[in-house]
Amino acid sequence: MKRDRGLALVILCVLLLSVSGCWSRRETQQMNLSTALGFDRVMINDKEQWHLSVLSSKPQGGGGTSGGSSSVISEPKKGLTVQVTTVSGETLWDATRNWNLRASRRLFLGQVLLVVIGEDTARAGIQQILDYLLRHQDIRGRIWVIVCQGSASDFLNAQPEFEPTISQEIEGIIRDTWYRSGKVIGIDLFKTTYALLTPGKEIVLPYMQLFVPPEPSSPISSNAGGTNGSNTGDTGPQGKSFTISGSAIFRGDRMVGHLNDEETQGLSFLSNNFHSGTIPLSMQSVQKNASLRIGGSKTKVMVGFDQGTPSISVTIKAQGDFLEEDDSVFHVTTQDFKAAEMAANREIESRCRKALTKSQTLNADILGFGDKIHRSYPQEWTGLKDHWNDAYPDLQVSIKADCKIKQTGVISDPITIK
Amino acid sequence: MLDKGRISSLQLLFLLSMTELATAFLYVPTITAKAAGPDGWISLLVPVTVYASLVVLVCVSLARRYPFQVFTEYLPDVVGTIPGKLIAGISTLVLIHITSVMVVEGAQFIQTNFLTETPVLVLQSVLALVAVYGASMGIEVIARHNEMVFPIFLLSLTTLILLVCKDINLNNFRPMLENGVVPVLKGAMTPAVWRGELYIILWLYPYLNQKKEDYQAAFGMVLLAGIVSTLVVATTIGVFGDLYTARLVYAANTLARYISVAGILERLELFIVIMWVAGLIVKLGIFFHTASIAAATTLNLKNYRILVGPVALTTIIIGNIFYGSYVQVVEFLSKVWPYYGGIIQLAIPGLVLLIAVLRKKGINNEA
Repeated sequence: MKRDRGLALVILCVLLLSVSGCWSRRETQQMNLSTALGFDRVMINDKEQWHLSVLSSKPQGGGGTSGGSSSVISEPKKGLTVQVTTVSGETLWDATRNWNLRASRRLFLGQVLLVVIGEDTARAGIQQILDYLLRHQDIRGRIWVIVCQGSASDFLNAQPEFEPTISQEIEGIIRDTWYRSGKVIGIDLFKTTYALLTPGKEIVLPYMQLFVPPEPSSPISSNAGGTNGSNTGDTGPQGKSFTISGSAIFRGDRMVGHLNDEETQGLSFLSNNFHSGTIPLSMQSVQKNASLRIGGSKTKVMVGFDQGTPSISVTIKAQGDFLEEDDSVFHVTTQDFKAAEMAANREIESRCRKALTKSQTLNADILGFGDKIHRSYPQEWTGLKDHWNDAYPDLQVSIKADCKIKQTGVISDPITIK
Repeated sequence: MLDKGRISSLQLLFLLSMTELATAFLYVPTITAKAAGPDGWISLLVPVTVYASLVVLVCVSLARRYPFQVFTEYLPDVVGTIPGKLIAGISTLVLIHITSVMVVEGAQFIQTNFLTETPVLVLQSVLALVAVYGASMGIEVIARHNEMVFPIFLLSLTTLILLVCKDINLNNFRPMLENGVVPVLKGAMTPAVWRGELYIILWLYPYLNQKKEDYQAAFGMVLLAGIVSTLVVATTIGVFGDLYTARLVYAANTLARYISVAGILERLELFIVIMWVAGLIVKLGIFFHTASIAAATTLNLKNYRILVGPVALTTIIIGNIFYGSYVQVVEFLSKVWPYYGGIIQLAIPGLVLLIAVLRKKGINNEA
């Protein structure tokens, strides 16, 4: 017994040495906390190269300001400065390690929230980028993937308007407030991969643009002139902010087209992903003069077969509140409710139809109808799967919306002009 | 009997369950999804359970004939001295061989995902050292340690499954049985021999203090491990779909990384590491113990403890020479191990049982 205790003591002492963790330790002051990555494929001296842009946060002043273990958005801190570094390499890992040719810290990707892919790169194919991200042991499947107009390295230099960093702001738009407009289709790294792997399903990613804030008081547009005095005519990306404008559609791993806001809303309806948002209506007028705020929607996709040819029927059930009108076109009567519902149905159907038509002209089954047929009718799918991309444009799809108006806001009848 | 330890039937159930679950939850989803596609969970539920039940029937009825001796001890009595010693020797070598794969699996997972700069040899040695200590203390120590670890292991695994189950997309299980039953059976091959590792009951049987409850413990393990591993595979396929699952190296780890509850509860992969290390130490302990006992009885030694260290060292050396890379491990697990394991777990004990019945050796309980 005594001998055992002695032995245990010796083992404990030896094990204690390993606890301190001096082996390949990483001190925080040697690490670089990056929250967003940007990928561009560029030609440099007739050689194809990758540009990797890293958005890193630099805690200033007293240490220990950046230790959050979860991705909860922290309060804007005055001391937090953000920096973008763009490095190039022949492959992505080459670029990753080339980062250390100009940086004295270790690149740490465990806190990455966002991946930005430049449009030209997306059109050339994103398979290599996805592979790089999925293979990396620090990157998680929950990070957001977006496509931006222009190059990703420029995009990351844009200024956020409401949060300390661009990655936090975009994460806020995609994760927390996307459903308010119904015009954002957020998709994470895993879901992107899933759409790439699954036959009969194509990738849709949010598409973002830069813009110069038109407001004269905006600190961003004035900031550009101040810090970079040489360039006053055309402001650089650091004088711009960013916005989501629709979504990018892919065929395979290549971007083939772009959906605008309206079409993205239609796509949200069709893919049963519309939780809330506003539909402008036109009642007794050519102009849009009323609004319906959708509070909830459910989409059913049914597959039918007519002599081996599939056809799809989509029914959308939505409900919402009537919230805005002009010229007293809407009163609290059954007829007006019916009329508004009809107008809403027409509008929803037309938006869905626009999204569908675009995807069919681009041969990209972004709605996953092929996948749906595969899951429900595996036997019929065996005959379809080899030429699904060619058959998709001719797929017959019927779209039917059924919208119910529940409330009218805080007032009932319109405020008529006396 | 070289080890004077005594274990209860519940401890035996936990020990046997740990032998499958400790390593299977990390590797099996990928291997099964590759072969069986969306039907991987059926593979684990039906064919694997049938195979494991066969192993239980054969091994327990063989062990019942010699309730106070281990397999390698009574072999010469059943089949004659020279063939007996030969089979005993082969069984010992096989035990050492499969243990070496476990040592490699254990270290590779930690190295790929967490300690990328630590040499794999250090990780192997640390894991093996703890297991060697446990094995040399005897089966009772391992069993009691496992009695504490296994419920925590099971709780962590169910917690992980519960936290990620909101992401399950039931469409991922359709179409069911698209290509018939053959892929399901193919997908069952590796997990079957994984659960068939319960054949080490041939060496654990003598320590059981209530021999009446032997079938309860063994079939209990087949069911318990069956339900848990089916849940793990079903959750992984349900969340990721079979196509992505088939491409993952450590599917359960990726699953744990994907957990996000309300944006707050995230990065739970450390649970996986804790489960992995805790489970692996028990599993290695059992196998080091079993392999040393097998070696000692084959060589007619009076003390098995002096063999534990050399056995562990041999497993590390074999592991590093033959299973140094991921492709070697996976090729072994999916192409060689099913046939190899089938022979070791079912064919040899079955043959020995048949000879014992024909030559009327041992105690005949059935009559």
